[in-house]
Amino acid sequence: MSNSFVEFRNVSFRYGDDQPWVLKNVSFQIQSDKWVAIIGHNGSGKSTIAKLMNGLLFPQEGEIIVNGLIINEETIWDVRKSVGMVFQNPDNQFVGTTVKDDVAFGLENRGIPREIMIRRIDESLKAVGMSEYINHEPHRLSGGQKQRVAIASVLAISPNLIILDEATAMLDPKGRFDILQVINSVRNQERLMLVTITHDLNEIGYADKVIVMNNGSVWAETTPRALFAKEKDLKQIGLDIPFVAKLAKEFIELGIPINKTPLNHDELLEELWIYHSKM
Amino acid sequence: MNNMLIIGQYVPGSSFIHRLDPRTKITIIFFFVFFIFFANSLLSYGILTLFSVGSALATRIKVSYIIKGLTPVWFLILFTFLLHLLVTKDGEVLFRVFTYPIYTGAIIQGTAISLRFFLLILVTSLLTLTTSPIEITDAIENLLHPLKKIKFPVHELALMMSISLRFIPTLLQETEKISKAQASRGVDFKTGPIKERIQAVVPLLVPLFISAFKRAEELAMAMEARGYQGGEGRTKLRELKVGPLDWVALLCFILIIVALFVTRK
Amino acid sequence: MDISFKNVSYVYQYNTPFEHRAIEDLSFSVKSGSFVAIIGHTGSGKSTIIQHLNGLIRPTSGSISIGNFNLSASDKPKNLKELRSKVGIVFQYPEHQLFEETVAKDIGFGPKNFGIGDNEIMERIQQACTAVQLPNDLLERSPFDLSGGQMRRVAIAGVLAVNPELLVLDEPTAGLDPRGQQDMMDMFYQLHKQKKLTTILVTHSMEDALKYADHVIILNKGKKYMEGTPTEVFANKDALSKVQLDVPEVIQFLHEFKERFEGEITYSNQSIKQLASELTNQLKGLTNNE
Repeated sequence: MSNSFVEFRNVSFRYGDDQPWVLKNVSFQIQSDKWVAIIGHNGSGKSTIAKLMNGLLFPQEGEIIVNGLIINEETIWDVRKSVGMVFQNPDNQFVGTTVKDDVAFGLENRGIPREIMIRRIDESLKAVGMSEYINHEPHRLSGGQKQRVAIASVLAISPNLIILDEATAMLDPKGRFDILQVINSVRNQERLMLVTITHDLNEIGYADKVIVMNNGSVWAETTPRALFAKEKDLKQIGLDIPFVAKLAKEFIELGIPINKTPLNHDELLEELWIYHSKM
Repeated sequence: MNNMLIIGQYVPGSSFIHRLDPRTKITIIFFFVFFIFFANSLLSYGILTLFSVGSALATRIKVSYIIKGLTPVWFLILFTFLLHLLVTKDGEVLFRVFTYPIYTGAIIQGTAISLRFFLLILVTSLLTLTTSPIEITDAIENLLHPLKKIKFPVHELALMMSISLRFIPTLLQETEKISKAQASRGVDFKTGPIKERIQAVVPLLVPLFISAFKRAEELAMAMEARGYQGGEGRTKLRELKVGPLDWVALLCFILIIVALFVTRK
Repeated sequence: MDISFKNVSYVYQYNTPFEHRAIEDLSFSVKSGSFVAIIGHTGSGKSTIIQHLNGLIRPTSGSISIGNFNLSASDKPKNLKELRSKVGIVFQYPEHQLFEETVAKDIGFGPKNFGIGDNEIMERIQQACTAVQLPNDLLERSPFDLSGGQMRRVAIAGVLAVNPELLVLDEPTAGLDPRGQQDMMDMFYQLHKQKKLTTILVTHSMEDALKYADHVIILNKGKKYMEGTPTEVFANKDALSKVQLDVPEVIQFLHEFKERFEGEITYSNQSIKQLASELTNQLKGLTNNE
């Protein structure tokens, strides 16, 4: 066995026999301690990958191995103990009538004793900064707050891997910012792997690895930095690069040396500073 | 406006009635509804009225709110009373409205039936006023638990109820959104002949159903992802606990019932 | 269509314990033919403003005029339907309002309600389809068989088919991928120019406001917080951060550049290429001065 936590081996998937393939012969690995971003235009198959990863869907061809288990009807419940998932729509994953009940749901399903449940609910709500909302009803929360509760629900079952399937897509900028803060802080707290499925370019910059999907196939598997150097190719498959990467490219054309494609403003300013001080 | 009717509304609070175990409240109300039909003397009615009104006061919910909330019910009660006046022909003729005779028996019976009706509504409203829907669901699940032996899907029923409760506000918001979108496209929900108004509901209902189905599908997937595999082996965060307060309440209620039988004619 | 709001307030569930003031003493005007962006956090009163624009609600106090129509607490426009035929609103996730059996029927639904003749409707459907770049062979399909992006275009075509003079867009690109977002906004901008529409864009995207709008209104907690051309408004970074709003990324970068190098460049719609060259000149100039 390899030492990767998730492995896709020649996976193909379609929703029905008369339907087109959503994924075609997809193979990749996710090693321990990594934040992996999966990007691609709408319909590129990226959300399907997320659902395959914890057995919400099964591939027609190939196999998927998570935490040493080949995903099938028998193993899914064990797989789901180590994989937590946050979906796109904040409303449609909130099961409980209050915040507390919602976080409890996953714990109840796993038969966790009540005393431990109460402790874990408190801890995970604290981790996402939602402690004071413990008795709130979902319709009194904003979208961003509901997604924080969804993350708390996942944290409560202490998984090894959290998949965020476009979890910020329906949020306003403030909600999006809060979620990214939360993710960054929990990632530092625990030994946890992250897979984010997104098309937010600035979100990709944080990842250790990016898997780019195009029409059901893996188009690239690379680092954000290397990816942002490929503006033209990305545009061809309906994606783009962030503003700083574009600006850096223009500087290079003007003859200013930029040694590595910047991921954020600071990195670009630093490069300019080096250039400036050498002059 | 719907907020006139309080039946089914929950008013959060911390009175001792609020704090009673929902099972205690359901049990008491169940027997109250049963025993109220045994009352037949002035005193026995008095005791039941005292109990109901006393409980209502003990909830510390504003009396004016409760009285106002029962407005639609007042009409029903009045109607019941009038019906008895016209139909019952017991006792002596007390007076005549124009030429129509009104009997003493009619007044007594009309009052008794109306009072019974009023007490029934009042006491059952007290349950929903002081108990959150989810607590009621928990209590029902718990009380129906023995039925599991005959394969009655108690857990599924309770889950269904709690999910419905969870999604009612969401679907109401959605209804408002869609009806505004369709009104902007020229649909008139408020005026026009009945036939057209019924037709106007189609552009509202179709999207609403489609979205509800989509929500259900996504919710099912989210529940599965969170490890839900039915009621077997689940633990529960919500806990029902019968405390001393509940025993006191039950004892009081038993005393009331005993008093009821003693004062019966 | 000229629009003006004069001291408009709106209170939800007025005179009840649940009373909630959504907008307060709001005044602004929109010139016919302009492209205005309204920006603010969730709950800042944006959707309340939208609902006033076609008379879904009327102000609790103050007055509004939209073209020849007037709205106030006491003034209900006699012909609400006519107002609604002139104001097209694309609500958030407009694909949620689709319901007909075919795409063509759904696009024709609005015009039919507003009493347009059958032949004219057919023509309008064609035009609207072209406007939203929807292939004609989809017209007889069920809207529910289409992709998310296509469904949204159908819904937008349904609004355009009424031939509105004022087009109100509430977060029209939410949930689309980056290219879908850009295509959608470019499409609206083109329509705005071609059909000489008055356009009101409600958005969270500072980038879109900067790129497309000629006037920006910033809302905070139901009140007007700032107003002006995009460059004017976004020049005031401190005021915006006070209400936790960002400036567009390019302006943010220029600020950071200024802090680091003390070289100042004001943003005036330069392309990235131009910016890079101006910044380079700055860097070189700074060095020469030393």
